[in-house]
Amino acid sequence: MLAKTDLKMRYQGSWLGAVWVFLKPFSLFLVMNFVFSHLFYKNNPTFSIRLLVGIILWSFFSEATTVGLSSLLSKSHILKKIFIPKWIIIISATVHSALAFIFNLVILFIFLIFYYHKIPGLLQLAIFGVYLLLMYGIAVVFSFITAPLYIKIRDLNQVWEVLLQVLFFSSPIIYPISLIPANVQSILYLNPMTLLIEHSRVALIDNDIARTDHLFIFIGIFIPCLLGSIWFLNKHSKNLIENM
Amino acid sequence: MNNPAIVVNNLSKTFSIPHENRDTIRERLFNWRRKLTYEKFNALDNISFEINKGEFFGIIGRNGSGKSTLLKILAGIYTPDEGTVIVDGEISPFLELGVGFNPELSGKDNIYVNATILGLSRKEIENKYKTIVDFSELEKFIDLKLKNYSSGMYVRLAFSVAIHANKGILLMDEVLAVGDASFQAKCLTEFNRYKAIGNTVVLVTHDIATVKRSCDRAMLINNGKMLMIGDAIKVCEEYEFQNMSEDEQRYFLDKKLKEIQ
Repeated sequence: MLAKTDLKMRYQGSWLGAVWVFLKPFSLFLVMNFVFSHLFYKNNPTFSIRLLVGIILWSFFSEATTVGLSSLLSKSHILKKIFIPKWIIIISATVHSALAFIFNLVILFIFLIFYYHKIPGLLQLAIFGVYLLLMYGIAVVFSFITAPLYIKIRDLNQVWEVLLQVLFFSSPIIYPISLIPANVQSILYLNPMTLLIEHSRVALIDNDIARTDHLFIFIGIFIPCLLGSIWFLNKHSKNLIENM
Repeated sequence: MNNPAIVVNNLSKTFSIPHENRDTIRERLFNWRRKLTYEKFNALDNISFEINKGEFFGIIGRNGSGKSTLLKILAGIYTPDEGTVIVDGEISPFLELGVGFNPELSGKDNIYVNATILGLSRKEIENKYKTIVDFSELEKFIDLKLKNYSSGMYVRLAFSVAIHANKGILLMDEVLAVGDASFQAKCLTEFNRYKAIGNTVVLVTHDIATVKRSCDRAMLINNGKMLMIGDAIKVCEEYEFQNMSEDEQRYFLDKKLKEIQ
């Protein structure tokens, strides 16, 4: 419900309204597509759709983390007056980005099916769903830890903006991972988005399943992180409001 | 009827006021060796009291005496440093009217948003929507954007959402100050009806007249300490006495002395 109000408010008074949800990632896609497919990857027929998958996933991640980071502070006027568990505020902020992402996903599938005539199998779709859940989970873990910190350290958003740029170019969004020398590849895989984006492409476009051992290691690391972040948020939500 | 709705034991709350703000990473990096200096401020100092079920309880005191801090602790917004708060029944977690109101949305949308924040489900809101609008007397303006409301309309809408969304125990911080006399009367009637069904109202206010007229019991706090608790009228008289200047106090005491003689 809070997320719904957010969505409504955000596009209030702008005549393009909710169209912005699509326009933001797609304009980025069009520019990137123009530059790269004409200059560098002329002979790669699936470059555009790979780029699109990358950009849509990325824009979801960057949006969800940015909103999640500032969620507590931006709702401080409410938090000071009323008792709401902190995690509800954080989740509702990220849910809002997830909704926008679902719209984008629909468009992605329309492209995929009608333009590229690629229909992913059920198993691939299911595993893609797992990737998406993990990506959302990472955004939540990130927000749980940074949202309370942001109240004390007000320039955290600037730091994250810069880091997002770094992560953007160190994830295989505008280039395929195969372009990178093998020894550097393993470093890139330290960025969780690398794995998720690359494996999602494999599932959706190549209709194949990427290495599942990666996925299991990933989940094995993710779960303690999630628990840790919940513990962190609980610990810090006690004296949070006085410091706002 | 006589078992307490709220029991507060030895409640203390201290705020530390830093002498400088260190909000950015740069400030933290450059100053990490220098210890931050704090000043302790005792907002609440060892307060214990009970509020019974079905009671209209007033909390009065000067500005900065800790009234609002106390209420925020009761609502669960602040955590106390020491002491316990035991609440029997559901407490409405809000203090102020119109939390989450958004000036860009219509009155109707704001009812939904506000009531959701106050903890109603969508279905409950739909059931209560009609009564909320009726109570606020705003049928004509309900589709108008909130930014075009007058301040009185705003408070009426906020109050009627609050009163319909509340649970067993209602906490109110300075809510009756706005609104015209007839609406205030309506609110007080609503409080009384609310009380009659066994619910509890805790009111923080400067308005002595309201406390005298409507509250069963009251509490006076000053500088975080509880000075007096008991019958509302007596507590109010004490508060009025404290607020007088010395001359007035002397005059007042003389008059009392004469009455006794």
